[in-house]
Parts: sequence; C-alpha cells; structure tokens
Amino acid sequence: MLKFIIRRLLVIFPMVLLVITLTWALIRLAPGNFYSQPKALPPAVEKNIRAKYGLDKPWYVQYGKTMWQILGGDFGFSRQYPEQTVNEILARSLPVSATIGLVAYLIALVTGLFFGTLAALRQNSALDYSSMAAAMLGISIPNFVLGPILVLLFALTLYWLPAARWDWLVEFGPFPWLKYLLWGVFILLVAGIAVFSIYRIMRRRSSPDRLVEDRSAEGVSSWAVTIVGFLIGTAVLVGLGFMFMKSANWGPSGVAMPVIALVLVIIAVGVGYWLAGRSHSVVLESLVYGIIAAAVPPLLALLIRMLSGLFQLTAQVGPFGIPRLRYILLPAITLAAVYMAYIARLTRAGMLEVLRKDYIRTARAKGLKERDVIIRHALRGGILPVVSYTGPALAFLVGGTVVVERIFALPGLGNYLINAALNRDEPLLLGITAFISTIILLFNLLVDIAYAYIDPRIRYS
Amino acid sequence: MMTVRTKQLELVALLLALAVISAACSASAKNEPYFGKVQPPEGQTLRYITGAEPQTLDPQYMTGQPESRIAAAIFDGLVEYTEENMKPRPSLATNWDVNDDGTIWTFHLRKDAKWTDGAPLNANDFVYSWRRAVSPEFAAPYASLMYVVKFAEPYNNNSAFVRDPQTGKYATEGDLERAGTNGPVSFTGAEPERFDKAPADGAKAKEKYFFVPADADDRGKLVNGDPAKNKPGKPELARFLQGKEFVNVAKENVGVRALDDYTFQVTLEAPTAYFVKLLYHQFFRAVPRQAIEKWGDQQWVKPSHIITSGAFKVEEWSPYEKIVLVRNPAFWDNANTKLDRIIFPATEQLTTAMNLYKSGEIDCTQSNEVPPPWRNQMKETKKDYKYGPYLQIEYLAINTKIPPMNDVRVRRALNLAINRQIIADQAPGRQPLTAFTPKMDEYQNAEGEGYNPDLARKLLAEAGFPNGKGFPEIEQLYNTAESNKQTMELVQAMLKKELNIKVELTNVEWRVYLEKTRSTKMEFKGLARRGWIGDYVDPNTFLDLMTTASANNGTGWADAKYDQMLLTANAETNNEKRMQMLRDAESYMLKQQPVIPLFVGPSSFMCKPYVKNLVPNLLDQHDWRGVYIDHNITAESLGVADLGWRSRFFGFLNR
Repeated sequence: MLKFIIRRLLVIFPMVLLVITLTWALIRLAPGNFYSQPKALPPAVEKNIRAKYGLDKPWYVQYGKTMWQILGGDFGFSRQYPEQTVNEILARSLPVSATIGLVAYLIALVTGLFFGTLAALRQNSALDYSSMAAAMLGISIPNFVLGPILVLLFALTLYWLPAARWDWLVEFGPFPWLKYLLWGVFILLVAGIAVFSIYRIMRRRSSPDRLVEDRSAEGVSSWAVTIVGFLIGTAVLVGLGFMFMKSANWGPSGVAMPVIALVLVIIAVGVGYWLAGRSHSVVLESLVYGIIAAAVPPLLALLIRMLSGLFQLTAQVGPFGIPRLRYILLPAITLAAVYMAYIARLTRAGMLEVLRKDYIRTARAKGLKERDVIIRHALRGGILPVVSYTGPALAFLVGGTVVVERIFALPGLGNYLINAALNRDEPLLLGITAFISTIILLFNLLVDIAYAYIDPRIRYS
Repeated sequence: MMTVRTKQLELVALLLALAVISAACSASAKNEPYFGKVQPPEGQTLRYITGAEPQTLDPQYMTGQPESRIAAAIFDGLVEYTEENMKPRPSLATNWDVNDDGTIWTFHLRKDAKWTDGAPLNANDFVYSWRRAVSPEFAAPYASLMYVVKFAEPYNNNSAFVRDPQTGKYATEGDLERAGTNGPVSFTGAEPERFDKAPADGAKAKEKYFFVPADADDRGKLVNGDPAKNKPGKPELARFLQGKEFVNVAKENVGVRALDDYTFQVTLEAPTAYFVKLLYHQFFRAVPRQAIEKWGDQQWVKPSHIITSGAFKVEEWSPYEKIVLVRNPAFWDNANTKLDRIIFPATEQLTTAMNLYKSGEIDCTQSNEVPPPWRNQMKETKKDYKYGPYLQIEYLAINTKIPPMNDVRVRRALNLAINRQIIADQAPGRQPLTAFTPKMDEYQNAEGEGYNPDLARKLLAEAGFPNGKGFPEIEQLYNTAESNKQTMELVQAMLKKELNIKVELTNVEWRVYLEKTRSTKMEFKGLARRGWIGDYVDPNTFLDLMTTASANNGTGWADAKYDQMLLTANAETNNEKRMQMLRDAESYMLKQQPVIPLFVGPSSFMCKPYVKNLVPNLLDQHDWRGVYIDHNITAESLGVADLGWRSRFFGFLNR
C-alpha cells in the first residue's frame, strides 16, 4: 500500500509540470496581450512594458525563467493585479472556493445517498420514479439557470438571503487570542470525537464474530446515541448561535461565539447520555438516524468555516475570519443540485446491484434488522460508484466553479481562473492550473486509497 | 418507518409550496416606482458598484474607469470634478497662472494639505509623481496622456539628444532638414533645459530637438533598417550622426519644477489650451514618494502600506470582494465631506449587480451597469433609473488601406446608408451621431453626413459598383457582447438593404479584438466596431484619435493637414476661436469619412432615491465629497411598499 502511494505521488510531480508547460504554450499561442486595452498604447510604452516583464527575450529564456521560478514554489506577481503575488491570490481565494465546494458536496452527498438508497429500496414505486425524475431534472438544469431562479426566489422576492457576494466575519473582541484558543479547543474536541467514533467502527469491523450482531451489548448503541446527540446538539445550537450572534448585538461576538459553542457542547453531551439511557425503540432510533443526515452538513460546514479561518491565519493575507453562513447557502445549493442528482442515481444503481447479492440474503436470513442490513452490508458495496465519483467531483468543486462564482460574485478560484485567461495573465493562470491539476491528481489518489478500505476485494501491491 | 419519512417529505413539499405562493404574492412589487428595496443604510455609508475588481490603486498605473473613481476619492487632485458639469474646480491648487503663449503653467498649492501619514503634500511631491508617470522603467500604460509636458515623450520613449562634441550644440529637426542627403551638418540647438535648476535665461532652442533611440541597437535599426520587421532604414542619418555624442533624456529634462514648496510649475511642449481639463484625471494626481520608495512600485498600494491624500482613505481591500474607504479626518476639506464610508463591492456580472441593487445591498451603480435589454422598461417604470449625456461614442472604423474602402466615395456611401435613428432607438438616452464628437457645452460639433440612401447608391455606382455589383464581401469585426451584436446586425441589414453589399459579421473575444484592431495591425477586411469614452471634457479627447501619431487611430487614414489643424487649434488661447478651429478640423476629417459614426451613449445607472448629489454626468465620475445619504427618505416617506419587512422578520437568517 505504502509503495503504491509513493509511486503515485512521484507520478504527480512530472504530470503537473507537463500541465504547466502546456498551459504556458497555450497562452503564448493565444492572440492578445495582458497590456492591450481599449486605449491603445503607443509603441514606446508597449516596448517599455515588454522590457519590464522580460517579454523581449527569446521564448526559451522566458520559459526557463518561468519554470525555474515555479520550481522554487513562487509563481511571481500577477500581471493583471501587479501588486499581488499569485501565491497570495491562491491563499485568499482557495478558502472561498473550498468552503462553497465542500458544503455543496456534503449537501449533495447526504441528500443524494438518502434518496438514492430510498429509491433502490422501493424500486418501481412512486417514490422511486419521482425522486429519479427529480434527479434527472437536477442533472438537466444547468447551474446558471438554477442559480438565478434561487436568487429570484430567496433574495429578490422573499428577501431572506443576500443576492450575491461574500463576507468574512471579522470581529475582534477585547481578547482576540481568546477566540483562537476557544476555537482551538473546540476543533480538538470535535476531532477527538470523530477519531473515537472511527475507532469504534473500525474495531467492530475487525471483530471476528461480526456476523453475529449482539444487540444486547451495552456499549455500541448507547455510544452511538451519545455521539449522535452530541453531533446534533453542537451542530444545531452552534448554527443558531451563528445566526443570532450579530442580531443579538450581544457582547464581543467573536469571543461570545465559542463560549456559546462550548456550553452547548456540554449540554449536548448531557442530552446524549439521557437519550442513551432509554430503550432502543424503533421510533427513537429511526428518529435519531434520520436526524443524523440533517445534522452532518451544518456541523461539517462549521468545521470548514473554522478550518478556512485557520487557513486565513496561516496565509497572513486578507481578513482573518470565518465565512458567513448567509452568503454560503445559495451558491452551495446551486452547486449541489447536479451532484446531488448524480449521486442519487449512482447510489440507486449501486444499491440495486448489491441488494440482489447472496450476502444480503444471508444477512436477512440470519434475522438482522432491515436497517442494519442496509447500512452495514448493502450500503458499503452500493456506494462504491459514489466513492470513485467523489474524487473528480470534489476536486472540481474545491478548485472553484466559474459559473456559480460569477453569478454570486464570489472571490474564489474560478473567478480568478476565468479572468486570468481572459486577461492573458500568465503567472496567475499557471498558478491556478498547477494548483487545480495537483488537487485533481491528489483526490484521485485518495479515492483509490479509500477503495482499498471500503472494498475488501481491492488490494494494491 | 416508511410513513414517518413520507410525512417528512410532505412537510418539505408543503414548505416549498408556501415559499412559492408567498413569492407569487409579492410579485405585485412590479408596479412599484422604485426598483427593489428602499431602505437607507445605517449612517453616512454609500455602497457603490464601480464595476470589476480594480486592477490596482496606483493612480498612475490604473487604466480603467472603475479604479479611477476610487482614485478620485483617495487622492486629491490639483483640480477636482464638479458633479453636475465636470468643470475643473480648484482643490489642491488654489489658483494658477498661465504665461502669454500658454506653455508655462504655474500652480499655487494650498499649504494645509497632508498625506495620511502626516507629511505635508507639496510641489516636490508633484515633481516626483509626474516624473514617475513618464519614467520608462515604470512603464505606465497611460504615459502618453502626459506627452503634452515638455520632453515627457522622449524621456518615456528612452530617447537621446544628439550632441556635437566639438561645438557642444544639440541637433534639431531643422538641422536634419538642412543637412538633407549632402548639405552641411551643423547643429544649432542650445543645451536642453533641465528643470531641476532655476530657469536660465539666454538662448533657448527655437526649433524642436531631434531625438534618436538611446539604445545603440535600436539606433542601428533606425539607420540601417530592421529586416525582421520589414522596415526600411534611413541611410542619410548615418552621416548626420557620425562622430556625435548621445545624451539620454533624463528625468530632470521633464518639464516639471517646484519653484518653492508650494508652487508647482509645468512647462509644456506646445501651447495646450485644454491642459487644465486634463488635471483631474487620476494620472496627474500626486503619489506618495515615501511609501513608493519604501515598499516599491507595486507593493505600496497594499492597504497596510498605502498613503493617500484625499477626502477618504483605504480601510480594507479584499480583492474580488470589496474596497472600503473611510473618511480621512485630517483632510483639509474634511468639514465639507459628508460621507463617512464608501464601500465598493466588486462584481463583473451586470445581472448580479442588479440583484444586489434590488435586494438593497447596494445604493448606486456605475454607468451602463443596467443590462441593455432592461433599459427601455426601466426608463418607463422606475424612477431610480437615471440617465443623461455621456462622453461615449460608438462608431465603425473603416480599414482605408484596402480596396475598395480606399475610395472616399465608397466610404461615404457606407456612411450614408446607415439609418442611425433606428440604432439609437434600441436603448433610452442614445443620440444618433453623424459627427465624431458628442455635443459639449462650449462646442458645437461638426455636422457630417446623415442617412441618405439615394446619394449612397449614386456614390457607390460612381465608384464602380452599381447596386453593389462586384463589391467584394467585407468583414465587420466586433468584440463579443450582446449589445454589440444587436448594433452590428442592424448595420449589416442596412448595408444589405440600401447598397446590396454583403457583410460578414465576425465576433471575437475582447483581447483578440484589441489585438486585431490595433493601428499597427488592422487585421480586419472592412469595418471594425469602436467605442471611445472621453478622458476629459474637451473635443480634443476625441479628435486626437484620428491623428497620424495616435495609437488609437485604427483606420489607416492619416492626413498631415488634419494633424496641423489640431495643433494650431490647441495652441489657440481664445476659447471661442479654438472651438471653431476644432470644428473645422472635425468637418475636414469627416469629409474623408475614415469612420462611420453611430451614436452617443448615455450615462445611465441605478441610484436609490435617498442618495443625494450623485447625478449622471459627462464622464461618469463623481465628486465624492458632496455625496450624502438622506435618511428622511424611506419607503414610508415615499409611500411605496416596504419590501424590507421580510428581511427584518427573517433577520436571523441574514446573520
């Protein structure tokens, strides 16, 4: 496995260099110059500019210089925005694209999996037909149509959400360091819980008698419910905290926010324990699992918001802050529609195939509950197509989506990419293409690794 | 289990249905006299869409209108815009004198002007800034705007004077003429003036100096020709330059001088009547030497480094997001500045800008931000759609180098076949144009020839193409945009209908279009769409386009007589006489019809009723100091539907 990963990583490097070279050549071949503008330049001024950027040298000298610079990790200054380096622009626009992209993908994943599975279970029912018709619609409606429709409805008619733009929450209380400290504690807490639950799942998977589900075992169910209670509590309440924070005009919100979060975490853990003490009735459990689906996106959205905030801190550019939820929602939903629909269809197809397999019949025959059969046995095989789709989809989403970013005037990578191409901004274009090709290759690698874990039949050697 | 889920789905469906019904109910807002929400922002804050993300905040490097508006707010000019009529009014310069022949301008600066770091802003800052503006190393794209200043052009061109080491005299253009191919080579020019020294009286060269490229290679190419570019050399120069010294034009040669700390003197190349009208252009504003020398030519504009001098200063610049300016309390005219804050959100999409305007997230937009297909309806139904005259012309450049367009009869025929009224009617405020300049207060533009299809057919027949027979298919080039397409298709149809000429439309992407229409390339077989927005309120900003030296000529038409007419007119100090001379020059040019004028565009934008002192004007520039928010004007006071209630009711969503 390790060998496989190293080999793949070694291939990525020359691939990215090839992409950079091709991009460099293509932008050279494109007519027009970065300095051409409606008020044409006198030849003398044009000559000065060409000399300033070294464009008067032969092409191989320019190519060599560019590549040498890039190998040093520096893409140089943008041509269109001469006071900004390409690295700065990437550091600033990536959190925006990544936030929108990840939130969109999470929405797509949760709803797509949910409806896909449901459709497969009730094949040829009204539910199946209607959700697949909706998925077809989602695939067919381009996002430059869906985006404006959502804006028209939610921003211009209902006036609920902003029509466009992006904003960072930048509020510094009297103790700015406290904010970072509390956020740090919060992130550690959430990460700890996540690691622990993964550990539980892994342990259960590797136990020799896993086919014999011991429903009476104390730990499993109460732990699951605790975690669920915790997740829901944090997500919903912290989310509400975000929403009310500014309108309440209550203290220095930058500090107040994590305090609220921490208090809520404690309450949530208590609620979780209380829930765990109850009997596992079908109603309670299905309710809990039903809410999981709804609780995951806001929680992860929050996580992303925090992570991108941290990213901002390390990048030392732009305002340090966390993106505001109100600006994320519409673009994320617009972006999610196609992926949601696609994932639903992939899940349905995958599940239909798996549900006919012998081991599902075995699982049912030994008297497992339908829920366990679906979640523990069928879904693992059924979502493989979704997993392989995740790599490229996530890479494209994180790498910025031109159309949505333009409709919603977001300061993301996609917006910069299209403008770099239109403005013949060579350094910026090289930087963004290099970055996007790197993450596409990396995400593909991650998908291949994930495959090995999900599907026991796949082994890399 | 199943029933629970189905019920949940029903609930979602119900909620969605409710949202749609609620949306449909408020569709009645269509009949409102204002577009979207009318709800003044808290405090004296203006949110203004100035267009795309600004390239830079360096006033001497920027070229676009979006950034120039920001520059006008943060850098104080010698003179400033007057909101209504765009006349220059004193700002940093309290008053100024001109010498008799109009070549030396002396500006008296106010003594209480400061940079935001507390340093005084004085004449030395202007000397530094203007030298930087034309420095070849800095390579400012707009450098040519300052070529009216003495020796600015040769300095920017990297040129050198030619000096005779024996006599110490310098070569003039007259000397070259007299030398010819075998005349005597003797230089007559005195030492060129240096403006770091006090003005020396004594012999000044009456004739223009002769310049050669400072670079030896380039000089060689000038004499021997450049085979790579297929340029012939000037072998007669070899004898003229034999054994001479080349003295580079230095920054001290550029005609700017600080007589004392608060007196700034500019010496011009030739008398230039419109000089003071140039001065509010951002290119002529002072830049902070202390910041530029500390952080470098590019980095000094970062929000943490920038030092400014205007009524507002930069608080935040988040690229592709927004620029926030706040009041500069140390500004000398702070008492008359009304806004506390200006926010410029960046957006490139017209519809996005309109969405933001409608939802009340911005207060005003720049001109032409309303998508063209909306304009007629906006004009009829909305009171906050503002429009007025604008110095923007649209025309077609004719490639006069290729037949049959090298025949003036053909060019006139093409021009006479266009019914401009139809094109102008496509959007409100457009005025059909037969001349090359819009009408201005003091200037009555030339008449030109209008729609006359009979004469057009007659001229075309005279040129050898009766009823378009034998006329080659020509191309009509334009840059891709919906509004351009409409205009171009109308022209195509008119030429077909009136003259039976087949025109092929070619649309290309912006940068390709710029490359193809350049004066030095002219890669279009026929006509090319051109638009021009004036830099200052004077006919010269348009008429100068058609001179031989202009990089924006783009027609291949060049006429020494026209060049001379403009030069003489601009040297004329009597305004009335000068305007008449410019009009004559315009008529002279139009008689040869190198262009087909189409229309004058209006300045048209959206602006909420509570924003005061921000009106449509000729340059779409604004005097930010005077603008303010009138909080007495609300939806309630205007008696219109208060669309804000939902956002207040669902306020939690907006946090």
